[in-house]
Amino acid sequence: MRPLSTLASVLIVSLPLLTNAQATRTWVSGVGDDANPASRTAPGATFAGAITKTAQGGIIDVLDPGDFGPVTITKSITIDGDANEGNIVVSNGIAGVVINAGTNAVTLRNLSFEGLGSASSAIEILSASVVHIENCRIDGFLGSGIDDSNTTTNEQVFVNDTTIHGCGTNGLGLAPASQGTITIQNVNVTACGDGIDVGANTTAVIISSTVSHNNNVGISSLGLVDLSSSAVTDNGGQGLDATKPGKIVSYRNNAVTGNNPDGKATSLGTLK
Amino acid sequence: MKSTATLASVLLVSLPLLSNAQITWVSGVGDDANPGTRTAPCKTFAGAITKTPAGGVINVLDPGGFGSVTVTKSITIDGDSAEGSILVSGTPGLTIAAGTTDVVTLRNLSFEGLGTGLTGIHILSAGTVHIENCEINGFTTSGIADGNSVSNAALFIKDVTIHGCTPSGISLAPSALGVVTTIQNANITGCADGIDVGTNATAVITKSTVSGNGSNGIQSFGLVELSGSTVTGNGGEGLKFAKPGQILSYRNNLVVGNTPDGKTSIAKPK
Repeated sequence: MRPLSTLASVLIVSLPLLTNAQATRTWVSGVGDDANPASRTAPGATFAGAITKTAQGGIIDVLDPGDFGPVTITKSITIDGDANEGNIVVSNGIAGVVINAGTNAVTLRNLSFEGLGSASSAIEILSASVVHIENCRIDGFLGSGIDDSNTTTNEQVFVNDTTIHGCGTNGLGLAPASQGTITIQNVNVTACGDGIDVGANTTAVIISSTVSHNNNVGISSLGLVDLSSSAVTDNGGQGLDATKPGKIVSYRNNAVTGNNPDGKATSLGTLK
Repeated sequence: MKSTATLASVLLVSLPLLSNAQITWVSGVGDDANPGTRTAPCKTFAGAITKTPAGGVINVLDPGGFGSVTVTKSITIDGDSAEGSILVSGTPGLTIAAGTTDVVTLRNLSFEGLGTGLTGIHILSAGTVHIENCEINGFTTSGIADGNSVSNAALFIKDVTIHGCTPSGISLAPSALGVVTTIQNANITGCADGIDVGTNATAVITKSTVSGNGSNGIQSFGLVELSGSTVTGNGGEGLKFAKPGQILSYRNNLVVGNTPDGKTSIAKPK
């Protein structure tokens, strides 16, 4: 008798805590339920619900189309809208994704952010070591499309294949608190207040991008901007606006025209 | 009678082998006990590949994780619009050990190594490999490692994003001679080295970005032809080569913010 009860108690103690298990990959669905474990067959309904069930360094995938809501990220994670391009629709001063992940790495991919003309910013970077924003669409925010005020030193931010329209302050506001490098490639910024604002301590490498038809300045720099193979055109204010000690280095392959005025690069670089 | 029986046997012989379809399917809610058809899909790439003849195609029906797989024949694995995923921990994502004339195409796939996976895509042998529209993240013996033993083999890498792999995003170290790798629109960040090109290897790199890697951007002990690309913000040398290695540039690359940038030999664009 005794040994059996001892065995039973050992078994009970060693059972995994199934309700608290975190998966390396979780799923959300337009017809999911946040009461679910966010698995492939029982998906969650929101990114905020799924992230609590996703292990550090894991992935939240989107199973089918839907609006998965705002989320605050405090760990390493990838959120991938996959083929359905998961939506985040916000309004009334709320931000889409707030990244406060310390020294972790965050990837946001295939997401579509809609601010309905009243939300604050689509992506706010408060802290992270590395942020990847890939193949995203951002539209209609009062603040920035991407607002970078990172407090983590030497941040690396990569923005690729992303379209930003109609953000009241700027398409990208890059003002990390200490050193930061932002690489911007194949990004399209239009109809914002300013196109891209680059703060002090900040290096922005802007390649194959378009900054056009914004209401005010195209690209402003208090830091260092390397500009290559891009178009800065038809902005309501100055096209290239560097304020000392800020610089804009052009690699002599950019179309800068139709601005008010065009402005010019601080210096010219040479391609290798 | 006899002629009818003969006709019947001729007809039977010429019927297509319907159970051995050229195209198989996997689904996030599939079952590897299934034949891998559109209506009865498999659950994993490893399960489907046994039901796919050489030269066939494994398609992804809907989103899911389809597991690691070893490829030993000509095949296409296509994530289609669902972007099929391979997530591993401590093991390789996909290994290619195919024949000298085999053609392997990997398309629309997402590889996640969680920081413990070995190699994202490991090429041991194949005649031709195509890697298109793939993402590779978090592997510890390189994102793509080419150790091809087949002479004059070809590797094509197009529209591929590689983050957070060590020691290299792409490591080209074929054991055979004459292997040429053509890289177009690759984006490699957060690795130790971005692209390592070994002694026997030739790499033609166009419209690619190698940025924010902890060590060197592009390191060449072989031959690199570089055009229309960006190598910036790497913690080591942007462009590094040591004889007999070369990096030939077509004078249209943005190389800035590396430690140091390094330099190239100049090629003449035509």
